[in-house]
Amino acid sequence: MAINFQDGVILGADSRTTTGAYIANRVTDKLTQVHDTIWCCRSGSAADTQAVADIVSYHLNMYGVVNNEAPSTQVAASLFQELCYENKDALSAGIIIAGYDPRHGGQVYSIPLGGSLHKQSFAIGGSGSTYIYGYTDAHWKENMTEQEGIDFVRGSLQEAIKWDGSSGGVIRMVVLTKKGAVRHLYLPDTNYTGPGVTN
Amino acid sequence: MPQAKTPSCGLECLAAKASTNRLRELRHSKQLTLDFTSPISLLLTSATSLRQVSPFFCLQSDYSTPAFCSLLRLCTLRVAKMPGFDFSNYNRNAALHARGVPLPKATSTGTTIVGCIYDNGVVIAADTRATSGPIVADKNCEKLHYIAPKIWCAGAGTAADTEFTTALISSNVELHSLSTGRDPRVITCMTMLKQHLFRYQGHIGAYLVVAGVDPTGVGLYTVHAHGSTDKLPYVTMGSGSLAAMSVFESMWQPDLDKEGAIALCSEAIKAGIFNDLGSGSNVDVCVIEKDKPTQLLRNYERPNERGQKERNYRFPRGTTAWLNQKVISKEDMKKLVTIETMSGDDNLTVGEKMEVDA
Repeated sequence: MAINFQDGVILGADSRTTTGAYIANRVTDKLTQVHDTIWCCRSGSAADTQAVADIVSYHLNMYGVVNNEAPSTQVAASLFQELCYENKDALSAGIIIAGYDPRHGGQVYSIPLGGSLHKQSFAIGGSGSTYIYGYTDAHWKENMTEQEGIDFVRGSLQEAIKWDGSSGGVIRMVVLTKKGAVRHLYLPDTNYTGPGVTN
Repeated sequence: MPQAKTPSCGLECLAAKASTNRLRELRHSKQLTLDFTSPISLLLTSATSLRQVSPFFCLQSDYSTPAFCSLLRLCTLRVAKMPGFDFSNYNRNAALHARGVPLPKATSTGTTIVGCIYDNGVVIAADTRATSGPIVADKNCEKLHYIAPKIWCAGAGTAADTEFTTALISSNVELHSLSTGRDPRVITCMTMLKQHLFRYQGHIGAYLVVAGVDPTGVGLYTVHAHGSTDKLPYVTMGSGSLAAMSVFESMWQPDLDKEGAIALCSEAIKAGIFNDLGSGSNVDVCVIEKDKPTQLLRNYERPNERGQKERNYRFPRGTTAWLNQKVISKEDMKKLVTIETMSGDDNLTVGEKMEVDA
């Protein structure tokens, strides 16, 4: 999931990767950087989303060099959409893109399975998301503070992990503001409570 | 030269109860030459050729019906040879499979492979059993593959696929290293592998553990056949991965030294050997350390040595009691049976001759 808050955006995800009933990786990093302050949350097939993110990352880095200017979040989202839509028959990828650029501030885009693109104030996706539509709807506020935003994301993901068998492990978060990216990590050992900041 | 093709149950087959006119049109498009062996004109082609032909009507046919299958047998299609790859056999195989023809068996390494990093190096290990269905095809095969002097790879899945994939990437990694004038990196190798495997959409059944040391440090990754990768301090793969992971999850520590890492990997492989039917025989280990030559410890442990049998099934002379004895000489034998000596060396030595490079 990813949300907008007053200073930028927050991305959050659990860390479970499964192959059938087996947990192939319990500490996966599903929050992937595609440019300095443009990140994405990957859900669906690991192979497909990694491949798509790698391609987008390549194009965004080329864009940055050629235009001597960082790409906007929308450019990144459009690149993702192009790949997801044109290859929709071969891909199973649900991607949420969140980024901060000085011109537009924080933005959140969602690309579900069919390859459509939606700009949203917050977005949830993946198998666990079905369990937290109610939670997010009831707790969402526009223009939250950073701490409120973190609590919202953590509370939502905690519910998703609690109810969805395919979600679990740790909670990873990335806070994107004009100051750059800050990573957070919340462990089940401490019932997903803070401090959380890791860099 | 037009190439004759068995009409495949092409999934997007251009199947039409077309009028003769329609087929004549097609024939005049010069891309197709047709043979009609039946008045029921049915035109089929695989999806790949179809795009090249022309925008005729497509029918999504229910090709599994007996009626349709009999139609298939009636018609013959000749498609002009076109440049590029020909994937028509894929459709044929899919149709055969749908009709219950089993796939040919591949020698698959029902395997346990593991890897584990330590303070300044990485260890990978593998069992040495290769299986083909329920048969042990090789009791002491090598599953540790060379990529570069300081990058090695353990392979599970289809034996041929792991062998050829690692050989190809090894070759490309060496060329890349020569071209850049730098030592190859583990992440480069991992990226080449994942892009190769993703392109083949999982049809190349290679499940790999990639490990090595490069100028950026120590690297350890898993690569799945579909092209997804993971980066972890300790990894397991193959059918014995669950048994091996249980060892890592209960015994791994963040401050392992070289000996500790080797012992832990070996223990994990032994868990696979003893608890997984697809894994067995010996433990191979490869140690890659900074500023030291890579060590391949072939058969580091042999926990399944075949011992001397304590007893055998050979009966000692005199086991059977006998009441009397009569010796018949060859001369006497001739009175009882006819003995014919076969003439001609050829007849005598049939089956005994060894064919050398026939």
